Amino acid sequence: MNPTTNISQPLESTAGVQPLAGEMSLRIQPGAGTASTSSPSAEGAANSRAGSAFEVVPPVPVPLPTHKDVFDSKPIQIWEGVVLSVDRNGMDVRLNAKLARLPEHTATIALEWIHDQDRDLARPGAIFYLTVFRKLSRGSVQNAQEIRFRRLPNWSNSDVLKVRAAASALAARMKDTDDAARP
Amino acid sequence: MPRALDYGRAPYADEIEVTIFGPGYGEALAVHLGGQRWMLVDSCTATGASEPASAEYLRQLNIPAENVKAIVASHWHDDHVRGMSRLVRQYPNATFFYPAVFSNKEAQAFLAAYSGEINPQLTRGTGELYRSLMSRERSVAVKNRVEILSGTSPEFRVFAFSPTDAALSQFLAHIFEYIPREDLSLPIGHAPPISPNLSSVVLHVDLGAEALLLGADLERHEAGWDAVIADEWCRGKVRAGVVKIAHHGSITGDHPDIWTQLAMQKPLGLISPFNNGRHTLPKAADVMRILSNTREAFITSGSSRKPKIPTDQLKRLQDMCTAIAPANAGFGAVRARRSTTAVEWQIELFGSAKRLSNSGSKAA
Amino acid sequence: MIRYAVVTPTLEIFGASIVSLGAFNPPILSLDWFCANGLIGAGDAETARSRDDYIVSRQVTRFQTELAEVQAIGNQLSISSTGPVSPALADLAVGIFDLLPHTRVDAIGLNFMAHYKVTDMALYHHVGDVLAPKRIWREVFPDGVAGLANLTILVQDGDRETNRFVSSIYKQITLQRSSKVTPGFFLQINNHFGAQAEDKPIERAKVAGSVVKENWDRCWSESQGLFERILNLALAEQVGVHK
Repeated sequence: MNPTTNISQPLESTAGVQPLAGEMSLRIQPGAGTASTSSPSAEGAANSRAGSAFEVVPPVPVPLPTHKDVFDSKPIQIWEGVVLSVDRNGMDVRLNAKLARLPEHTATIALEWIHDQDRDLARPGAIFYLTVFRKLSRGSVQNAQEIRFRRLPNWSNSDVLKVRAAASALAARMKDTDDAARP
Repeated sequence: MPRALDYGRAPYADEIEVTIFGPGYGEALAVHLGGQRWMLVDSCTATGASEPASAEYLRQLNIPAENVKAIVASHWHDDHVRGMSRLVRQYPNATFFYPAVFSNKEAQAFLAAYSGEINPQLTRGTGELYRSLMSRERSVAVKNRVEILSGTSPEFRVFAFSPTDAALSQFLAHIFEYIPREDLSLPIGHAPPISPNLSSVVLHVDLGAEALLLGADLERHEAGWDAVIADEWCRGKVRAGVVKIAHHGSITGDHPDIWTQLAMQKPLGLISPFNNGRHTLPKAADVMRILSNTREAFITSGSSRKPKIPTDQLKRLQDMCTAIAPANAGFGAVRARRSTTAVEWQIELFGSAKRLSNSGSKAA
Repeated sequence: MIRYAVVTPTLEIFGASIVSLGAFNPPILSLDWFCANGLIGAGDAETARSRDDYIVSRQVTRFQTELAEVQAIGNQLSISSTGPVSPALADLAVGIFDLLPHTRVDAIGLNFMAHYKVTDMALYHHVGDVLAPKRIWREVFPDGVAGLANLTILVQDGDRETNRFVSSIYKQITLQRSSKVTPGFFLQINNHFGAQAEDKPIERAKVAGSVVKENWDRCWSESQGLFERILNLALAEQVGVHK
């Protein structure tokens, strides 16, 4: 049954794609007009149309995963951190709160809190996110926190070209007039 | 918004003053050279404030913008340049001085890479310095023996003691691995702190009978303080009666010969702290050493380490973190002022500033 | 009898997703590719690979880590939070666009969703009554009971007189009954950024990355404020007796 026409079972949304009820096989729908960038599950089916300039295309359903590991959560605070120094006792960090105006703080975090896969990312200057959140899973509420290091790709060739261009612009701007003057 | 400090009156034309600002993480100086001529060194902001501390100071004293003759960025570290680009815009008549290391193309590429222009989220000290340099038609590279400013009525000359030529080349060697290149597999990230600090500009302000020695963050190293003290030209300058203590009082920023070769006996000491997690400066041993080398010393902010986080959030953070402390322990300023004919400096403390003492900071 | 009440709905669940429309090549966006380019750690990749919902094919790629579920089909790429929402979600999207600069991206949606709880069913019904007045529905269906099931509002810079939209950037806000919080509401905001006509197709991935970098934080903080404002305004209406 199409959930959008069933008011007794309102649409619900998770963070992932959900199939239309009853649909278990992959099915491609032809696109029509401008598709929607909202989370596909909340968009529902193709029945909602917001006008000719904003025609929506339903998401392509895929088999629903078990989602047994997905849990709902509510962030309490997210600290964006910068690693200042690292030694065997831990890493010294500077923390800035993202979800409220709180003063900048420093702290020390033991290395055991860092995932093995992130250990090589823990170096001075690295950015990480320390999320303090409430985890809701199977009816229970737990306090939890996690550290996730920022992962950005390597500087690309186009980035390198941009750096060179910005450096050239800087050099052109800096017209030294008194350089190495010795009295 | 923090409550503004009341800085009282502006200096008279025949008064010299040096004021150091510090929020716990950050340092800036405002120097009145007499005759309504001002020099600003570095930049910091009080917690919650958007205006740089020295700009707020000058605004309160009703100092016209055109009276600021020089702005010096002693080095590129975040705690010394916060708000610098705004200062530079606010005082367009002031010449902007920067460490000569950044005259080099590789160093310029380093600044550009980490300026935030290419990756918006990368912006710390390097971004402020980059924007400051880009906003100026005229900026001057500074290294040892370069004259910053001079004037008469009253007479003064400001020179740089550093960075040395050896420091320039060592700095470039250090930053090379962090400059993006096609053949380098380098993850995008913030510019890491480069240690030791060799690019720092130490300033000598010659006032005739005595001098001010503004030590920035220069560290003891063959290309740092060792080279400055070994330079006969530097040793030949007027001795300092006021020393802005280098590198927040750390042992790495100290050199015994500063006190025997560059300063008068037992000068006045000015210092800003540095709160950096476990590594806070000055440590107790540093305080003892500073007090043994000065007749008295003053620090811009206190030592309060109590976190300023709501209790429930703090408890959660403590599950993972130790030594949680505010980066800024209270904003303060220390002003040393005297007339050109006087010998003694008058000290005034503002905000969280205190006299430095062995038993923990206490009010003067 | 009229009661006045000052109540604040409480946030219970929060999630986010980044959805891109364009032309994507699912086989490229494999776990190995993400791992080799440093966008996903080896541990996360291994966990995702071991799950039975991991798919890599010509038509679809799908995998799930503790941070996000990533799904790519021909015309859509979605990255949805599976755990607590983190700025790392935006980093992942930016990383993809930076590494695939010639991908055609026609639009980006920065989406945030939340479940809010209200204190009692009367207030829950009140919100529905305020946002979708029942008078017409009761006239049309005199024997039935009508209630708000789903409300979607489109908001964009536009000309109010002609009601014409003037750009391809808009917000779409959806409100439904929450299936996870009772009594409560589910709200979602889709911050839609469409490619501009003057954007060269070959540069659109670069533009898409910039859109994420420049708007993610702002949209995140704005969304929660908007959700609470919508609910608070509805709740702040006079609380009457419900028949």
